[in-house]
Amino acid sequence: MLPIIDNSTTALLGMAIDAAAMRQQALAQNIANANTPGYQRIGVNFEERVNALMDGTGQVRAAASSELASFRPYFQIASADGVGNDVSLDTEVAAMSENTLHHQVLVKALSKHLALIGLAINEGKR
Amino acid sequence: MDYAAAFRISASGMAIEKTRLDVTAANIANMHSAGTSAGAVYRPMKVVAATVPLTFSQQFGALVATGGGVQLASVEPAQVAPRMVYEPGHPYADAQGMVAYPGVDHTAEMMNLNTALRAYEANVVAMNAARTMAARTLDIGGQS
Repeated sequence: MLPIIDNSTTALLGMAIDAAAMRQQALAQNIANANTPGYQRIGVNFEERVNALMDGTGQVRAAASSELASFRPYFQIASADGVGNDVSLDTEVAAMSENTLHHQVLVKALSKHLALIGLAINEGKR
Repeated sequence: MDYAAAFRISASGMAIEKTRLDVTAANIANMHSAGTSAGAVYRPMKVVAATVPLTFSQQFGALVATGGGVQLASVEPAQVAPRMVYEPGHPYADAQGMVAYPGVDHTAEMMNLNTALRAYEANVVAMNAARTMAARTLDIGGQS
């Protein structure tokens, strides 16, 4: 039986929602500086590192909450060449629309997970 | 997560693009403002933007970004020579009958206008996206 309340899903989803919100900030920053000379675009590093939580079969290991702390998302310079302003508005807006959808998926997943816990608490009566 | 930061960043972006629009409008409005001499003529202005870097602070055990966005560094006159037009009857004409007009580059100004407009729109889209995300997070744990 899986431990349903204290498992890593809630923590991982929370971090992923944080990452999506931070990415929104990064994209907003890139768009705001679309015409700033010498600006270097920023991004958020999260999903790449979460791959380390996968085991050999492509399943996410049931990670301990303490282990998850090192996977927190952070901002980083995402400039391709590091010289001059390389923001293109279309790419940023496309990435933003993708990020918004991704965020909605994560929120829905978290909601469903919490609903599952609620179901267990109510012994499935509702 | 601090959604106010995303709003603030987009708002600063909109403000700078609006400044760019204002300055472009001023340049175009003044393209026929004759000067009493070549030195006293209106000089087309240029907006110089500077980024406000995201700074990080430690809050509740997590790295949180504050600041960010863009700010107006300066509005500087462009280094362009005035346009000299032969108009002997003009009250501001010099001894050779030449009148100085600002060297406004129409093509560049229209390019600036459109770029600023598109960038402004992109900032609005970014702000709406942040609003949608903030509203969606309120649905967490809702019956849906």
